[in-house]
Parts: sequence; structure tokens; C-alpha cells
Amino acid sequence: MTYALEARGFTITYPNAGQPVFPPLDLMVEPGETVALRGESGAGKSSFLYAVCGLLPGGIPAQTGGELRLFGKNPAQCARAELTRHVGMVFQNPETQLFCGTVALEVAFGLENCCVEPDSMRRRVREALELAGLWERRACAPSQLSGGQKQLLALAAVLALRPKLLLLDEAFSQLDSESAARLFEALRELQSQGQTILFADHDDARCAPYRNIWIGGAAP
Amino acid sequence: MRNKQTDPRVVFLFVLLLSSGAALTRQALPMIPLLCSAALAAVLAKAPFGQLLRRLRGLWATILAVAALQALLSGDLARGLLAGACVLERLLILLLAGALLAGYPGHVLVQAMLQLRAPYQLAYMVSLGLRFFPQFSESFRDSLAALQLRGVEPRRLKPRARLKLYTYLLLPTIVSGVNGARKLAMAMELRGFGAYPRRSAYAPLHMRRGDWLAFAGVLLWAAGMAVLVIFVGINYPIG
Repeated sequence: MTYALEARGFTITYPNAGQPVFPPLDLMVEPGETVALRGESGAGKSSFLYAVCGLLPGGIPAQTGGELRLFGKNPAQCARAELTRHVGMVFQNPETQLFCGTVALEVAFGLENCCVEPDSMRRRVREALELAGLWERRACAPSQLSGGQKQLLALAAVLALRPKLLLLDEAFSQLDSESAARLFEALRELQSQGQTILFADHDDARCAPYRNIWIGGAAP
Repeated sequence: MRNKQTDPRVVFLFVLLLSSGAALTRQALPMIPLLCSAALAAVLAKAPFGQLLRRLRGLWATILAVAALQALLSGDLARGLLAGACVLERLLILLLAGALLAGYPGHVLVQAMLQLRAPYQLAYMVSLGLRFFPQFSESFRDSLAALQLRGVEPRRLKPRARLKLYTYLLLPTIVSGVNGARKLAMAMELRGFGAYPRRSAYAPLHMRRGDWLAFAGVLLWAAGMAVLVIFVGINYPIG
């Protein structure tokens, strides 16, 4: 069986750091599964997610040890185009992910990069924005949205690319409870459609329904 | 996407010809028709020139000082004044050209650059670079406000101490700006930026009849202006 994500004895060591960020990590995520990545601040959750989407050690200087496979392939050796099809990531701060002039263009950006045909692109933009509940606001500038809506937009922008594995790096942490609940509802909807999700989070209640993997030590 | 505005590609062409004319013309008198054309275009396009002037108000003293210095250093006062006027005219033309483009949303300008066959990485780099400066100044103001809330009032400090304070503030602001830019680059890369040699467009620009007329008008204007500037430059070589 090919796992969506497979880590065996995986470690990350930053330059000038004497030891790896976290002890050797073993993790298997099956297609369609949702897994919560837990750990204290600084435990290495973000670093691990960067490695999964191929940004580390390529873009971020670090040494990795052990084995990491994304749908059977080493993400560090995958071409960017292939990685875009396999994995999408929503970051903690929506401000650093949104840069286009309108909500619709923000979602279309990734599709434009992947040379998706205009008709198909319009359909996918609409689908993603409807899932995020932002279709009515498609002509607005992202800066006009609330914090929660911005994070939903960041999610929609990633989902439009239909990645097989969706990563969320503490995407709820800057949201008020209502916005966080809405984003979580969107994730549950995706999960019910068979989307593979790996999300880093600190909230016990949100993580409780899923398999929890602790980075940097066992559960407290 | 762009209402009834002229296609930005036509405006790009106009701005290119206008600024080239301003850069090539060395005399104050022949520059006047160029300045008048730029002003007329800015009025017709309802360009946000006043807004741009207000934003640059801190620079006006420097610009006038440069023009005055040029006038004083040229030896002959009359010739020097004309040289100073020439500098001012050139700057005004460039500002008006900038105002013409500033009237368009950033994403429309990026799309225009893309359809003008500019490499898409370059078009986005320019657009994001322009976005970086207001963010940087906002971040600096936030740091300054945080300092003021802790009881430090920069205006009451001696110039040397104030300079030192600004130096301390600048470094964390730059670091936070660079970190933000790095996160943005990562987000863009993950959404396939640069993964393929070309890209498709969600909202491509289309030239309408009015745009083609404006395009022809710009070409006619350029030809007429070239003749006029050369004629005035040869017959009235002032400045």
C-alpha cells in the first residue's frame, strides 16, 4: 500500500544546532485520513510540514535524516510542478499568504501558474470559494476581509489546486472562536469527501476526533 | 475587472513614449508640450496626481533644492535657471506618468505586463516589491508607536540619540519584513509559482474599439510631438 505520507526515523537538523529539532519521527498517513500533529511551540511541527511540502531542505537550509515519502516519493527530489499536485499548505498567518488584487484572483493564482484552461479555472475558483463561503465576496480585495475570512480564502486558494494532501500549520491560531469553528467545519466537509489532511494544532477539542501524533515527545 | 478605463497596455505605451521624450529632451522650452500632454492625459484619465503629490510632499524640498543647486552651479544664472526649470519639468512629467499608472489596480497592471510578454516572474516581483514599501513603513511606525507607549519620545531626543534610536528600530523592522517576504515566497511557490514556463490567465485583458482608437491616438501624438519638439528645439534653442 502506498501511504500518503510516510516518515521513518525522520529528523531535521538546522545549521549550527548541535542536535535534531525533534527525535526520530515515525509516521504513516493513509490516503483519506486526517491526522493532528501535536507538540509544544518550537517542537518542530512547522519544520516537519515544510519538509513534507519540499521547502526544506531546498528553500530552508537544514539537514534531514531518515526517510520521508510523499505518495511514495521523496519530496525533496520532486519537481515543483509535481509537488503542487501532491501537497498544499495553509500557513499560520493569512497576511503572508495573500497578495492578489481580488478574492477571485487570489484563488485563481495557483491555477494560472498550473496553466489550467480558463473555463475549468472559473469553475474551480467558484467551487473553492463556495466551499469557503466567499463566492459573494469574490470581487473584494483580500484586505477587506476579516481575519477568519482571510484564512478561509487562503484555504480556498490551496484547495482550488486539488492537492492530494492538505497541510495546515496552526491555521486556527490567529482566529477568533467563531472563525476557527467555521474553518474547522470546512475541513470536516473536506474530510468527508476523502481529503487527506495533516494539521498542526494546540487545541485539544479540535484534535480529539483524530489520530494525534506528538512531535518532540509523548502526550503530556 | 477594469470598468471603462483605457486598456493599461495603451497607457504603458503612452508612458513609455512620454518618459523617453522627457529623458531625451535637454531644453526647457521643447519640454513644455510634453508636460502639457502629460497634464492633459492625467486630467482626462482622472489620474490621482494630487494624491501622489501629497504622498511625496516630504521630497519636494529636496527636489527644489536640487533644481536650485543646478541653477546656481551652472555659472550663467539665466541658463542655470532654465536648466533648473528643465529638471522640474522632467520630474513633473515622470510624476504625471506615474499618476496615470497609479489609477489602475495593481493586478490589472500585472496582467497588462504579462500580456505585453514581460516574464511573469518579473511582473509579480515588481508588483510585490511595490507592496513591500508601504508594509515596511507601517511596520516601522508600529515599532515606533510601541516605543512611544513605553515612554520614549523620539522628538524630544537630541539628533544623535534620535539617529541611534532609529538605527535600533530599523534592524528588527527589516528582519520582520524579510521574514514576511520569505513566507510569502514560500506560499507562492507552493501554489505553483515558477513551476511551469508559462501560465494561463483568469481575467485576460481585451482591447476594445475605444482602446484601439486610443492606441492610434497615442501613435499620432508621438509623431506630432517628435516633430514639434525637434522644431522648437532647433528654432528656439533656449535652455
